[in-house]
Amino acid sequence: MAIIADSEIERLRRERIEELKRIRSEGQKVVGYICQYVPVEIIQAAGAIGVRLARADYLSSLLGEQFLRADACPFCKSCLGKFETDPLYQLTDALVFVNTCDMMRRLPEAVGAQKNLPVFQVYLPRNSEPCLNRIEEFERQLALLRDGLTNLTGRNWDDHRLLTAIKDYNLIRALLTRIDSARQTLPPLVKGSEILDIVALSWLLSPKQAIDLLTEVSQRLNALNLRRKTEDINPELGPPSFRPRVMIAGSILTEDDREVIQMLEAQADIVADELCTGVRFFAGQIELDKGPLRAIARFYFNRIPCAYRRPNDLLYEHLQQLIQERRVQGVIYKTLLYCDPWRFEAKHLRQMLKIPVLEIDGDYSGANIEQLRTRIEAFIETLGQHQEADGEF
Amino acid sequence: MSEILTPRERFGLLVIDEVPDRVPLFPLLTSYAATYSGVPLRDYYTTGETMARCQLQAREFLQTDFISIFSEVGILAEALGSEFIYPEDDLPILSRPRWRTLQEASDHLQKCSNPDPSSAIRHFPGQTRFRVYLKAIDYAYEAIGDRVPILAYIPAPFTTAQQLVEPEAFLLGLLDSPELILQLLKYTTEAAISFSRLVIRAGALPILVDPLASGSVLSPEQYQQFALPSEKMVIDYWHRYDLDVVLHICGDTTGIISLMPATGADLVSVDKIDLEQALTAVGEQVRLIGNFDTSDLWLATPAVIEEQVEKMVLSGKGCPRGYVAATGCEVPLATPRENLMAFVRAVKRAGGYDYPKH
Amino acid sequence: MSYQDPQPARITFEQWDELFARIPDELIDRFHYFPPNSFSWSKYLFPPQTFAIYGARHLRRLKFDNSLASLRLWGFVNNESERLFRARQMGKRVIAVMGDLGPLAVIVNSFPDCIPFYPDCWWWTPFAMESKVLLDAAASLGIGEATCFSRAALGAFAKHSYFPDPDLILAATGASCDDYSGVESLVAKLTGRVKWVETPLRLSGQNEQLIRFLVAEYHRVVSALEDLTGTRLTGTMLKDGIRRANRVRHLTSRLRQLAYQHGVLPALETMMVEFGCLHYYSDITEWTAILEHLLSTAEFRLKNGLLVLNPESLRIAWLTPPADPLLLCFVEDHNARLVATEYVINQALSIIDESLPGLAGIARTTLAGSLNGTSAQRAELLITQARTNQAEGVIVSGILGGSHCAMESKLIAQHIKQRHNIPILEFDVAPPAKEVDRQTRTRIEAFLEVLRSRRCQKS
Repeated sequence: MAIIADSEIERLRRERIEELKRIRSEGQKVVGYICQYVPVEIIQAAGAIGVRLARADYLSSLLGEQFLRADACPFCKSCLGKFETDPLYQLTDALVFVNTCDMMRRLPEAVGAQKNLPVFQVYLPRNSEPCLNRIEEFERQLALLRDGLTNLTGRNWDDHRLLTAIKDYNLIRALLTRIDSARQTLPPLVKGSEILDIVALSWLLSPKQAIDLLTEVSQRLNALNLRRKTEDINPELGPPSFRPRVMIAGSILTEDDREVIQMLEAQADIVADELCTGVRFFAGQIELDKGPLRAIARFYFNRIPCAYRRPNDLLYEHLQQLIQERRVQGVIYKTLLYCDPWRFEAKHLRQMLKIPVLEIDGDYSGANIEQLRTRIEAFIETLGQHQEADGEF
Repeated sequence: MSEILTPRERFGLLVIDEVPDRVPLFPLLTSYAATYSGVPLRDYYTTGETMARCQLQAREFLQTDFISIFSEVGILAEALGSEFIYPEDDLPILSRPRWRTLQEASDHLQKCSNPDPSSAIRHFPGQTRFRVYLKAIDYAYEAIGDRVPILAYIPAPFTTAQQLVEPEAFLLGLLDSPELILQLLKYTTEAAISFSRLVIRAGALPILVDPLASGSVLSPEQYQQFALPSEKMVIDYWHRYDLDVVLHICGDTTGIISLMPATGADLVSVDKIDLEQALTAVGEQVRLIGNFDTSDLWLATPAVIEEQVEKMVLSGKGCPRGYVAATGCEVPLATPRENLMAFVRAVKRAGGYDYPKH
Repeated sequence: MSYQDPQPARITFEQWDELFARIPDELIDRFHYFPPNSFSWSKYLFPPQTFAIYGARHLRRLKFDNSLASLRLWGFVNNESERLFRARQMGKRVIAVMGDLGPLAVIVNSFPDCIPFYPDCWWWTPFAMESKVLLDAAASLGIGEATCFSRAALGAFAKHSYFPDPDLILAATGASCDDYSGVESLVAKLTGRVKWVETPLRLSGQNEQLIRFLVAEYHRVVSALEDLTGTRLTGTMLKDGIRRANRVRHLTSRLRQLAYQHGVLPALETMMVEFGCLHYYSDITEWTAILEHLLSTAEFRLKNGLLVLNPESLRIAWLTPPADPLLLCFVEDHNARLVATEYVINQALSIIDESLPGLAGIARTTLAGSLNGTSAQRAELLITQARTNQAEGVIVSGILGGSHCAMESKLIAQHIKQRHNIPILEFDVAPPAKEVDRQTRTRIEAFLEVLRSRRCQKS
């Protein structure tokens, strides 16, 4: 039984886009961002509405080839194409980028060449060791972002609003973490696809709407868990059979890229992910032991690293931790074609994780979809099944 | 199991006084490659592409560290006018030296001051053997030159000189007419240098072979008087190109081993001499190559070969300047394959150095 | 000394051997790296034949400038692997600097007996040897095709036979190339001992703050070097290091001007000169002497009207160094010559401001790097030179799958078209081979034809 129906997700999404159109027409600014390293709290506190732009498809990537070469990142190409085709992208009044990989670093320039939009580029040191000068520099960059955004919105800056935003998004992260932990049970109480959809909604909706939704989902999960515990198990039939437990990791997996997820969930449970549109988006909490801007800088600087960061050992530590906690049996490592930061890690990842890894790649064209299906099916078959006692939610 | 280094990388470390992953492996395959490939010998040494392909096939099978472009030591003498016959199943044989006496040679050389072996013509069947050599080098170099050094064996001036004059006259001349010998050696030195220029341009590393200067033929004093200076002149020329020079003298070099470094050779290849003795005599000055007995390679059992090669390698590894595990001379044509494989196995097993692995 | 340069010309591999035969032994004995040492192994005046025998097969296909100074350059450049091993044997520290292409080497060179080198430059080895050995080694470690040829550096680390295991590895990453950052990451995993350094994004109006940031990064580099060497870096040492680097950069600047404005040196040698600014091919003293020799040769040629390239050749600007040196020869063989270049190393060519405190001066050049800012800014670097030297066309060479190439190429081409309306040819360099592949050849030939007909129309 779905924790949140597809129809509900669609409705919430549609209604929010309509709402954004209305709010925008009333003068409020909608600021789009792509990367998990963008501090949405600052956008919020500046009086703008932050929406994450994390959608992609083949048609828009072909459109993007007017501006970028065919061997550029399919996601970046699609991003450019989406400005022509996607209503959400067309709603944005400004964009915030963080320089991450090569491709993302140049995307603002490509967007700037195509659209007449204010573009804010924030410099985040690629080096992940939290040396003081690096945190300080990032904080300075966030201050510039703050100033730029308040210029855009015309509102005076108020640290109080920033503290409120921090509190709201911390709560959103905590709720998502709690909901995500429902994947830990045997079998999981919530599907991997549902988690990804819920996370995607959380960056589209307003903080209050997101908190309400996540609270509701959390309550549904509580109820489901209770029901499961009190349901009779027919001793003659034995305990329920459990499907293989897999994790998905790799390059950005956009909201609308669900083919592989569907193939997986036909035969296995996606009990964990290492995605910037999944677990990495909501892991952790901003701790307010210093001024709020410094606290935000430290939090975002120290996020579970995207593969492009150097060093990225913490990514591997997190992967191994998840594998252990969630009893993951196999990893689907899904990368975009030409996504160097993630593709370069594939071999090392295999060596480090010591469980079966299926590497797949794509460019949204779906050209190899049947081949992929066969490979996934074969991979899941080899994983086998576990018979274990129920876990706790 | 694939090794971390290519033969070129391995040899490259050795010659700059660095320790490679293991000792380079150098059974002198030469004409054996024809036997291995089932090719008649005459085809092997008269067609460059055939020579190269045989070498590549043998090397591919045994995974040795060098390609050897060589048939026999008469190639220069032939180019300078001595006559050879080409049996189908044997290497070229000297049938008539160019001059009967040293005086005849001297009279000719006084009239003509510029021998140009590169334009010497000797047809069979329409190809000069120089061109065979160069074609073989080119073929092998294009095929594998990025990974494996291509060695081209150049007959030394003294060995060539002996094949230009009737043997008895030459040997008597060492005692009676040293000045005529030296005059002839000047001529053959220029020829060796001219030939090696072509080889260098083709991409091969020339190695100097002087079998007729061994202790079987010369006393140490005669070596020092006649062979050594001409070897040194050729080696000095190759050093203008900063090449790492191998000097190979097969046979008994016990009496001359201490003299060989004076030629300037960077690597000395030995045959019938106790390896420990060679190490003691010259191991601080030159890198050593050698020296498994080729008769044993041919006739012993694989088990015995493995045991003896292992002992040899463990001893040779101690050479302070570096060591290449090799046969003392050319691998006999009738050597069983399993014997060669035993040789290779033993070298690779015993010849490893402490080298980082990933 | 009896040797005199012949009439300037581009000569073949075989012709160099003929010329080399005329060079007296005393001249070969004269030039040594790591002067004032005079070991026999430190000579380097050897012809292309030497290095071809040791595997640099591509030398047989190229054409070279026929001056003695160029022979010194080639011998010195081709000798670098051995030089690094000899450096270690002599007790010097060998420091790998990766990714930033120029600035870190200046710091390393300020310490006594420390030799910096860029493993990045080993990306040429597969082309020089016409070989996939290093690329295959990189593939076995996780970087396959459709990535930059700089992955050869990873292969070289794995082999331990192209340079000695460095005493310290400094890896700069940030606003740089992803492919190479991936290489650095895998080198870090392979060796377990990389010191990471940040290369910041260049943002308008933020230079002073970013310089301060970089200076803090460089202080950490200095500490690491001080720990390694047991020597404290004084202001004087750093000043001297900068002065020496600037000497190289000034000489390079003048040589570029002479080559690109007057055609007194071919593009291949000029490219090697430009790349010499990165780490001086591991011996700044001797490299400086070679540059001085080259400069006196070039100035002599200019003064006496002895040009090596036809001044009426088509004038080309080239962006991103062609991985394959044969492409430069090909273009010159077809009566074109380079008049402007942007080889991704602007930070190494920029003169370090000696009026600033040492690390700040170096940081300023880092920020001027080719890849730190926008593609439009990079395009401007080329446009400025192209205008000055009246370029008639632009060639943009890239690598299929190279991350910054994929994103930049169209943006740069667009910008050049808007700002300097001259034809542009873009292509990807093919993998190492014996000759220029047919498609690239056809495209370059057609492009040059277009330029010729445009010139005819104008005149």
